[in-house]
Amino acid sequence: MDIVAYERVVRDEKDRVYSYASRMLRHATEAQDVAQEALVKLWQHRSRVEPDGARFWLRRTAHNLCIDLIRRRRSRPEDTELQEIMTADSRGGPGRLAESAELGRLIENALCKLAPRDRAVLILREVQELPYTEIAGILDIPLGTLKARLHRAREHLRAKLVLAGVAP
Amino acid sequence: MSGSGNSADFGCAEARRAIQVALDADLMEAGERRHMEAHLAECADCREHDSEMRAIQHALRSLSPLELPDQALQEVWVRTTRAGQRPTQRTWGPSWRNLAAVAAAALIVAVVGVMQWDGRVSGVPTDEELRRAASDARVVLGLTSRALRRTEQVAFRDVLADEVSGALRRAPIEWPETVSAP
Repeated sequence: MDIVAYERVVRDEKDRVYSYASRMLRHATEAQDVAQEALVKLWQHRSRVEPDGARFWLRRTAHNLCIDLIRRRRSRPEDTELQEIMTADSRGGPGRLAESAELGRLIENALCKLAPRDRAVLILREVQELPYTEIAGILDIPLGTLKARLHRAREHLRAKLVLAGVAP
Repeated sequence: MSGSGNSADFGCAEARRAIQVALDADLMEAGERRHMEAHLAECADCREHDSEMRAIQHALRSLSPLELPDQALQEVWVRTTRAGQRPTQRTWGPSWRNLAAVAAAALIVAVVGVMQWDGRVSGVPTDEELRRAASDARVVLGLTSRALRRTEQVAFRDVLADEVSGALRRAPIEWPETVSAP
């Protein structure tokens, strides 16, 4: 992969990688670190990564970095700064924000209470809307396992929302 | 609610599994879809469940992407594609120009001094005036030469990242420290 291809991948994927890390880690600084680390690693491995596979490589690396970090720190207070960013950020326009901001905030909070593997599958499938085959590759699990995990994760998220007194 | 669909073997458990399949946008057999729709028409709990799951999916898909801060992206560039560029390039211009300005100012002082000396004398200067003028000129030229030498050293150091300044210190460019009196 040459420099032009690398810079294009970085510009296309940086926000997706950062969003994923932010929602997985709930910590703005750590999410930045993970996103930067994944992007730098892609550059370091550019001779072995084909341009067509760079995006997948980046997402899988970001996921693995997040899981490593979560394993290293099992109990860390959530970053309120990130919650503020998540609440304030809206690209859907004011009308959409008015409709969905509250539910969005509640969903974000419920999402962070899920186990990391449930959170990962929901973010990749429902938030980032990646295809099943790619998600199975990122998580390194069979397709059948992925779907079973996704179904369970949706049920867990619904249960968290119900527990929080939210009726979507 | 207990399963109460049209089919005896299609209860709430089957309906909720079918709801998930529908959320996955996977292909569903026509018979299974028919059973699910029939079950939802009769079961309020599963209807509510279906509605909630769809609302959750919609809410998840509506979450905004977060932007990687510009500063973090700049750090990525510095660590990757711009890693070969020396940060000294950013500071080279100002420090070199500052010292060059000092040298230029010293030269101006020297020229002005000579012009003033020229205007002050009328006729043949005395020995005392000549000695004083020569001393002033030495001071000005000394300052100028030091400023120029320092400028050159800093310019080389900045451009070549301190690789030649040691050599320059060991073998400085020799400027005349004294000027012979006229």
